[in-house]
Amino acid sequence: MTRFLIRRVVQTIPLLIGISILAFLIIRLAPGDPTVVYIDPNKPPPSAEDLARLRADLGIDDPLPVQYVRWLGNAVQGDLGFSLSGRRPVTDEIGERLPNTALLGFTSLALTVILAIPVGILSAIYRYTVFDYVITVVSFIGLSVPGFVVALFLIQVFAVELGWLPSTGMHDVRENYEGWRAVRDVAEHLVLPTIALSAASIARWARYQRSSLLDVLNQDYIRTARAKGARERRVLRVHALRNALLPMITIGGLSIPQLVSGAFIIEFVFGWPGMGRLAVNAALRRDYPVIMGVTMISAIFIVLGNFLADLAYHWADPRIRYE
Amino acid sequence: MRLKMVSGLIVLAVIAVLAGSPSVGPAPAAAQSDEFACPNTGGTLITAITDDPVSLNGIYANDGASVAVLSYVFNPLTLGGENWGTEIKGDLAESWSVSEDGLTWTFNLHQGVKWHDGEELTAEDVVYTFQTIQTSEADIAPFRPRFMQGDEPIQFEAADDYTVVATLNAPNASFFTDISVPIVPRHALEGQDLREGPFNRAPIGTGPFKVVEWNTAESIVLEANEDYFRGRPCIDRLIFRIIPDEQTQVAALQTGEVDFLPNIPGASVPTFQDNPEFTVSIAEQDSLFQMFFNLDNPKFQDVRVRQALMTAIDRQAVVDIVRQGYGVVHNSHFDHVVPFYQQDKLGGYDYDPERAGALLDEAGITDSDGDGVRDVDGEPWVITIASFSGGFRDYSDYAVVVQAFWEDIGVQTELELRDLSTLVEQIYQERVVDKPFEVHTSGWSVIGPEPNSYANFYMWTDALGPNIPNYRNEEVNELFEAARVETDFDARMAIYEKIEAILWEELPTLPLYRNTEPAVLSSRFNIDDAVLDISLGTNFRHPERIYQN
Amino acid sequence: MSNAVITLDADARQDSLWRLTWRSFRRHRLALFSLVLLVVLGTLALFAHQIAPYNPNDIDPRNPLVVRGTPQPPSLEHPFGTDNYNRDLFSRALYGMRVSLGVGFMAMLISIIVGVLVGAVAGYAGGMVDNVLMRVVDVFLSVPSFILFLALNAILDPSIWNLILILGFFSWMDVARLVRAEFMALKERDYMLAARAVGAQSRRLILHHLLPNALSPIVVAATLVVPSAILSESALSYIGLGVPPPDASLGNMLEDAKAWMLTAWWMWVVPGALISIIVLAFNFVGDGLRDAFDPTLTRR
Repeated sequence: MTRFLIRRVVQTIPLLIGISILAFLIIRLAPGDPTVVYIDPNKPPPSAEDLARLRADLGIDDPLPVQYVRWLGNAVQGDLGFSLSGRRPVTDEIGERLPNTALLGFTSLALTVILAIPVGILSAIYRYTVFDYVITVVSFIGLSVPGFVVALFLIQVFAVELGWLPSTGMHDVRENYEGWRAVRDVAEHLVLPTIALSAASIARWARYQRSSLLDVLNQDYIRTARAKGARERRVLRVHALRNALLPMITIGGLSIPQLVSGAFIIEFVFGWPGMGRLAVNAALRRDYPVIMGVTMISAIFIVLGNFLADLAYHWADPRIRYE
Repeated sequence: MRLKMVSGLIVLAVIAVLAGSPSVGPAPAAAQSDEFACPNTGGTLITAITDDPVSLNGIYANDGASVAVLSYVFNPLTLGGENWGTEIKGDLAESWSVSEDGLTWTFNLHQGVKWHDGEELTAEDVVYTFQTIQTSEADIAPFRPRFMQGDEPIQFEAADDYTVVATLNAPNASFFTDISVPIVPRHALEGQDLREGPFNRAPIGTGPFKVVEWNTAESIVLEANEDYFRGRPCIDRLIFRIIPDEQTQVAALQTGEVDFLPNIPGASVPTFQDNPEFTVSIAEQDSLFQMFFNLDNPKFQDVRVRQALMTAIDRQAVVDIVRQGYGVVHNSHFDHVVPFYQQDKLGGYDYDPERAGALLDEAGITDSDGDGVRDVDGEPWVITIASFSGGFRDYSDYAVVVQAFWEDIGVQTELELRDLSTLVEQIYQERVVDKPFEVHTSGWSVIGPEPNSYANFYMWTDALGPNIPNYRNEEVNELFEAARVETDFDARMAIYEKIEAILWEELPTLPLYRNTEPAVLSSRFNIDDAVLDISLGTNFRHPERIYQN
Repeated sequence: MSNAVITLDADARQDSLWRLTWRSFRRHRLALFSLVLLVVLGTLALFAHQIAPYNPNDIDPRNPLVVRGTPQPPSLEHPFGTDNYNRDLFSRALYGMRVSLGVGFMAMLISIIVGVLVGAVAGYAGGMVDNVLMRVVDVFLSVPSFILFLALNAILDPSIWNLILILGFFSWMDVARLVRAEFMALKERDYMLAARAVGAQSRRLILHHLLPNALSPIVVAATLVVPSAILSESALSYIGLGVPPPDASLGNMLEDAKAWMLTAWWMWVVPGALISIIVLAFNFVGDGLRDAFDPTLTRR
């Protein structure tokens, strides 16, 4: 097991390098370059000489391997470069947006766990009853309506019609709130995006939890416990639940990357200042340093998430052997 | 109709007065007191933009979001150039004069103008700004060509603290508006890294508002400049919310999270129209939406083909369908704010599908096999239209309508969408003659009333310029050159009208329409004195006169 | 709890896996209903050309009676109404369904083929091969999908086929992981040990023993990739990067409807409802299949 751990940690490095190379190459293959921010199709463009000079200055005319090695050399020292479209160091750009996405992600994850797991369990226990059918239908609706439609609907009803909650952004800009009032302000702005973001995952988790518990309940050892005369509640608590919850940990591990990459569409509709929007705007503006920075941060979290998920697999089912 | 004529007349009048006495300005008719008593002080006006600005350094950024913000932060020396409205008059320049031979311009600055950090504006700042545009290596000043004469930079110098002198080597009537760029402070920028320095995000200007906070992707907060030389703004703060989705912007307006939007989709207007909480104003925009041909493509080299394609489009239908009627059919290759534009002067391309078909037949593009699609040499005659994907919906929207009209006369079309960066590389940057496009839908806006500003679009030069259609016409080139140095106003305009007529006959591009924008303002604010004018980056002639009711 | 009757009747027919599965599936009413619904919708989409009363892209340019620029509510002539281009929404919905379902299915095919290949090899071979393959999967998973998508979109000109490629490209990783996990678990099951003890060859093991048993999660995953691709397409279309105009897809019909949410509800209700119903139906079918395939459940 320790050997496995060490091997995985060591393998992470070439993995990250591979990711960076893939991202680097693919974004270079796309036509256009960072100088696009100087060109507005509605206006006369800058001169070709100026653009060429800027390209040379930014180093994007150098051969690709040279550019890559230069980036890598800086990156390992913590210098992720300078964003031309944001006029700030990339670390500043990411540092400002990452907490916002993490906040939204965590809240969504928390809501999902709190709602989905009990609902899934109850659904399994009371399977094929009216309750189960209703929950099934509701969760499937949550899964099937596109996220941005839910978002638009929420904005229209709760912000415009009812006026209970704000429609956009993360803070109220008219007032400058401090202290607890500021926390409440952010919380109010957090409600609608979280619901829009979680609708699908709550449904999905609830279904997984239900089928996971059902699987467990049909196992022989449960039948044995019941045959022994144990009360249903004890059967559930001591034997079933523990085993049914394990797969959810795996899914939780796989959800970690979401905390970082952000759900772009939700961020876009709600104007939430997160990583998803940063990534897309950087891609559209061909802001290479930001793209690489976002990719690497996201990659680190994904690798972490996978690692934890694999650990959970191993823990859950000792028969799966890792050589 | 009337509004256009009236505004056109006003512009004409101002220019006539200015030009009538070419050696001295400003025109007494335009004199207005800078003293304005605010009926109410205080308050915060919130508006919205869809994206973060690229940079708030006035001489470097020219994208919509940047211009929207920095227009409140800086003042230019003169108005009337790109982004600075349709009135040709001075801003920081209180008065000016031109020498008899047209080679020396002298500008006298307002005195006592303060930068946001308390320093005083001097002629040195103006000279610094212009020279940086001409020479800076660190960043790209999009306005550089306007400060050059051929390859030589125009000479600027500070005769004294409040006098700037410019020396040209040939008369240039458009010089006044060419130098219409934000003035930046020398003391804050000299020696700084212009591309990576803090000025990009925390600028110092002379404008009515100063930047206080920039929360990326969320908001930019501006505060009133107490020492603004035209009087302290009535409101305390002006805030830009960054809301990428148009629909969410409209929702935010309804909930009160936003107070003012300079343009909302036509479909959303009814919600605000009869609502006492809002005032809707329809403002005409200095813009032009056109279809650009690639004239190096043999398909479009016969003028009859181009004329046919123009006649096949019902331009009013395009405006109705795409803009819900918020637009005006445009009849010129110059924006309507140039002095010689008249709505009904040029015509001849009214919607007439039969005539369009006949013209194509004449040009040899007929439907020889009767399958409803025109062909040449047995091959179907197909036009590929290139447009923008992503946020630039206006362009791809009208492309769809034009497609339908062209297909109606038997011209098969294909619509290709590319993202901005791709099209920029393939159409706007490449100087190669075989640009990979056939027809391109695009448009421009707020170029301004100076006709010479349009020269780059239609003149053929060796340098990379926005002559997207690769239009080469010696006569047009010569006429533009002649107009540039002509000092008599009427003679100048006559030359431009000649150009206009030639372009209208040759149709290197197909001008379709210009926008009108429904602007919505919360009734809590009053802009009667501020004067809505969306050809300005600030959207107002006197942004300091916005006040709460 | 078992009330199965044990019979030693020598004639008892051995029901095939598929028969058993189908019978169990039939009992799952929602799933059955969804399957029927999907078949109906699929048929409608397939014959869109024959059924649609109008050309979906026709804006009828010469008709002066047309109220231009304003979407028309549902009427006898236009059962789903028209959009602001005066295009018949019923016809557009049919063609849009065809495009969206087509995109979904094709993307699913690509992701299944690639995913099963990679996952099976990784799961069965184990060791170094597994490691390398899974790292490759990780590499593709780690690049934020939007960046990949935008880059690919720019490299390959936007068209329906490229959209299919790209969407399929994003889904194969999950399938590969799923298949690999199944194979890894199944590999250690007793019957596998037995087969190996008897001396069966690898290829026989994979094809005859592992794959059929792993089939159930693969099929379930397949039915779930389609709705995921359809949802992705609608999200991309919402920001203008999906199926390019003037062709209709359910996603870009929603985008057209964006500005008309309050004033022309029929413009978004139709594609929104269709997307939701289709995705819902696929999810029910997938759910039903999962229950049906599970041998422990059928024994009741």
